[in-house]
Amino acid sequence: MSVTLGCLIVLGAAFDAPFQQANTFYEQEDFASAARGYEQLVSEGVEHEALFFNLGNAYYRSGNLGAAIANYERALRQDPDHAAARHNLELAVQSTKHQWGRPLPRAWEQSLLMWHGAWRPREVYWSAVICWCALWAFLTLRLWKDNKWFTRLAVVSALAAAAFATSAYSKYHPEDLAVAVRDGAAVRYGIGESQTLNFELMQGDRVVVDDRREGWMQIRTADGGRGWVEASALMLVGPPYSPAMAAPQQP
Amino acid sequence: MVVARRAFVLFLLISTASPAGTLTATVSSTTVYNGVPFSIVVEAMGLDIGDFSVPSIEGATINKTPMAMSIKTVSVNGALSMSKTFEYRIRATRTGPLTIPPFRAEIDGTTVTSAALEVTVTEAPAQAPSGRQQPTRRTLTAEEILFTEIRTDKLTVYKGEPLTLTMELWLYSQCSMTMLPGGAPEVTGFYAVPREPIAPERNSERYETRDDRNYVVRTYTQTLYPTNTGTLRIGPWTVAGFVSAGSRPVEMERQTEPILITVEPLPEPPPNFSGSVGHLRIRSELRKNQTEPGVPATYLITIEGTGNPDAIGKPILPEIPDAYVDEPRRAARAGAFPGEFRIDFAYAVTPAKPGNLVIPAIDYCYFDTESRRYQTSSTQPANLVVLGIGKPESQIVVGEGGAAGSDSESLNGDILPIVTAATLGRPMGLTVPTVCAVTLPLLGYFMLAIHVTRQRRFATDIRFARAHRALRTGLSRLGEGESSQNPLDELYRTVASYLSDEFNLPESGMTSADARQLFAEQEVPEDIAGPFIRILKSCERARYAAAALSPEERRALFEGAQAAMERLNGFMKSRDRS
Repeated sequence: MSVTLGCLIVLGAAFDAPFQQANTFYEQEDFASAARGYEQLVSEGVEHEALFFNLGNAYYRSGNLGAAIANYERALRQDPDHAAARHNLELAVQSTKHQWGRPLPRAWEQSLLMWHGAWRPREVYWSAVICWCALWAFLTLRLWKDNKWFTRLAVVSALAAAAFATSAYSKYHPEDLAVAVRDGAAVRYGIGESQTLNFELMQGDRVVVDDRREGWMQIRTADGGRGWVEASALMLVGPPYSPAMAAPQQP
Repeated sequence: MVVARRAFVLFLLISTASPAGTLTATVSSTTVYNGVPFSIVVEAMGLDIGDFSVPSIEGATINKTPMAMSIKTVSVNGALSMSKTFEYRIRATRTGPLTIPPFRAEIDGTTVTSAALEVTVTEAPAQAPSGRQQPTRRTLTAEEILFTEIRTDKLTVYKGEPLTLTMELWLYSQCSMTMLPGGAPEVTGFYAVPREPIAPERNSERYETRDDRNYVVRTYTQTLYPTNTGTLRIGPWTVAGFVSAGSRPVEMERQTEPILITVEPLPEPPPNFSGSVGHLRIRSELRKNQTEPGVPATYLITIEGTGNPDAIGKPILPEIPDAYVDEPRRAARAGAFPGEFRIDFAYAVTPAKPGNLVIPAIDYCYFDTESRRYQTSSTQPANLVVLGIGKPESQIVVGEGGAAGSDSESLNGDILPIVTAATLGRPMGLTVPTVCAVTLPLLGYFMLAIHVTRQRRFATDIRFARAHRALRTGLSRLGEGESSQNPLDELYRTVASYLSDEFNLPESGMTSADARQLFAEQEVPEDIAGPFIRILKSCERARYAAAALSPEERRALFEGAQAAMERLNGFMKSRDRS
C-alpha cells in the first residue's frame, strides 16, 4: 500500500514540473507553447481537472474557442463542481456565434439519474463499491444472526449499489459530446460533399455524436438538428483525447 | 365616452367572431347527360353543423346517401370553424333544363340554404353510336365494369426531379361504386407531396368512351420526388369497393402492376451548387432599412417553387465586413398550388459600426427540374443604414436572441485564471479495484457462510462433531498417555474413547470383544480393525501383568495405536464421502 502510494507521489511529482512549465508559458502569454505543454501531459495519460481547465484557458487565449470549450467540458467531467471551469465555459459559449446549449442527456438518464449531476465520477464509483460491500456485509451479518434489520439494510444497500453503479456507468460511458473547432462546418443530410447542406456549425457549438462512418460523424444539436459532418471539424470531449493544435482562429 | 367604449368592444367582438355559417352547392358540370350520373358537392361551414336536408329533384333521381363525406377544421382570419362536405350522386331522367332545389342545413343554430342550381340535360352522345347495338345490352364482364390504370410521366429521372404518378379508376357509367379505404401504392424512396403516406387526392372526374361503353373516370395524381438513386419501385395500386348497378352490390378489387423508375444521380455539379433540386425562384428582402450598432436587422431570403423542400439548401451569405450574421432561421410552408412550397431563410444581420452596410447579391445555384440543368439565380444587393448610436462594439451580443434580451446571465469580465497549485497524477485504472470490489465481498461472504454452516452442524450433529474431533483428541491423549504412570491403562482408555467418538457410542465399558462386534457391524475391513483388537487385548492382558511388557513393546503399542487410528479415520472419511 505504502509502495503504491509512494509510486503515485513520485509520478505526480514527475508531472508537476512540465505542468508548472506550461503554467509559466501561460503567464508569459505564450499561449501556444502553454497549450502544447498541457497537451503533452494529456497525451501522457494525465487526466486532471486543473490540467484541462488550464488547457481550456490556453486555447481560449489563443483564440481557439472550440478547443477551449471542449477542454472546459473535460474539466467539468472530471469535477462537476469546478466553478471556475463552469464560469469560463459559459463565457466561452457566450462568445460563440450560435450560443447553443449543451445537448440534453439521454432520456433514461434524465429520468433515472436526475440526482447524480453534481457527483463526480469517482464519487459515484466508490459509493457503488461501498454499497456493494455493505450489501454483502449485511448479508453476512444476517447469516450470523437472523435479524430483520439486516435484511432491510441489505435491500437498501442493494438498491443504492444498483443506483450508484448505473450512475457510474453513465458517467464513465457518457454520450459522445463533441465541439466544432471551425466556423462554417457543413452539416449535410448524408455522408459526402455532394450531399445537401442542412445547416452549419460554428466554432464552439456542442453536439452529440450518434454515429461515425468513413471519416464523418452523425451529430445531433441541442435543438434537435441532425446531420453528417466531417470528423475533422469536431473535437471529441471524451477520451481518447486528441490535441487541437490547428491554426487558431480569433473568436 | 361610455358609448364609444361599448361600440369599440362590440367592434372587437364582431371582428374576432367566427364567420357566419354558409352552405354552398356545386355540380360537376352544368351540362349533363340523360341517364348518366353526375355529382353535386354540398359544403357547409360553421362551428356547429347539423344534418343536411336533401331535396327531391323533379326530372332526376338523387341518392340521398352521400357518396363521400369529409370534415375538416379551417381557420379563417384567425377564427376556427368546421367544414363539412357531402357528395351526392344525381341521375337525370329526362332531357331539358333541370333545377336542383336548395339544400338546407342547421348551422350554428340557424337554418341555412344553398342556392338553387340550373343544369341542362342532353342525350348522352354514346347512346346513339352509328347503328350498332349498345354493348350495355349484353352482360359485361367484371373486368369491363371496373378497371384501373396507373402510369408515370417519366420512367428515368434525376434524383430529386419530380415525377407525376397518375392513377385512373374506370367505372362503367351505369354502375355506382362505394370505395373501401386503403390500397395506396407504396412509394418507398420517394418524397411525396403531401408528406403523409401517399393519399391520392381526388381531383377530377370525367366521362370517357371506350369500346363503345361509357365510363366515369376518376383520376388521382401524386407528385413524387426520388430521394435515392438506382431503381425505385412504385408498388401496386389496389382499389376495392362495392359496385352496384341497381342490384345487390358486388365487392370488387383491382390491382395494378408495380412500376420501376430509374433514378440517376445529378450531373457533375458546379462548385457553388447549393444542393437544391427543383424549379425554384429566389428573392430577398431587408425587413428594415435602418438600424443601430448591435441591433440586428432581419434579411429574408425566400426560395419558392416546386420540388422537395427537404432538399433545399440554405443560401450562403458572404462575409459582411463590420457585421455579424447569425445562422438563418428556416421556415417552410406549402405554396398556393399542390407541390409548391416556400421556404424563408431569415438571417439576423447585426452591424458592429455605424455607416452604410451593403449586403451583397447572393448567387444561388440549383438543379432546375424543368430545364434539367444547373441554373443560378441571384438576389439584389441590399443597403442597410446603421445609425451612429447604440451599444459599443465590445458589448454587442451576436444574434437576434441577444438583441431581444436573452434571459441568460450575462458574464462580464475576463475568464478566470489558470490553476497553478495542483498535483497531477496518472489516473488509477479501475479494472483492478472493480474486480477486487466485486469479488472480495462475495468471497468473504461465501467463506463465512461455509464456516457458519459447519459450526451449526457441530452444534446440532453430535455424531459429526464427535467423529470430527475423534482423531485429534485421540492422538493428543496418546501423546500424553505414554508418559503417564499407567501408560497401558491410558492407552486402553484412549483407544476405547477414540472408537466411541468415531462411532458415536457410549465410551464406558468397551472391551476387545465389543470392539470386534462393532467393527463387524460397521463393516470395517479386518486389516483396519485387527490392530485395534490386538491393542485392546494387549492392554487387557497388561492390566493384570504390567511388568510383562518392555518399554520397546509399550512404545510399539502406542505407535501401532496411532497408525490404526489414522487408518480408521481415513477409512471412515472415504466411506462418508462415497
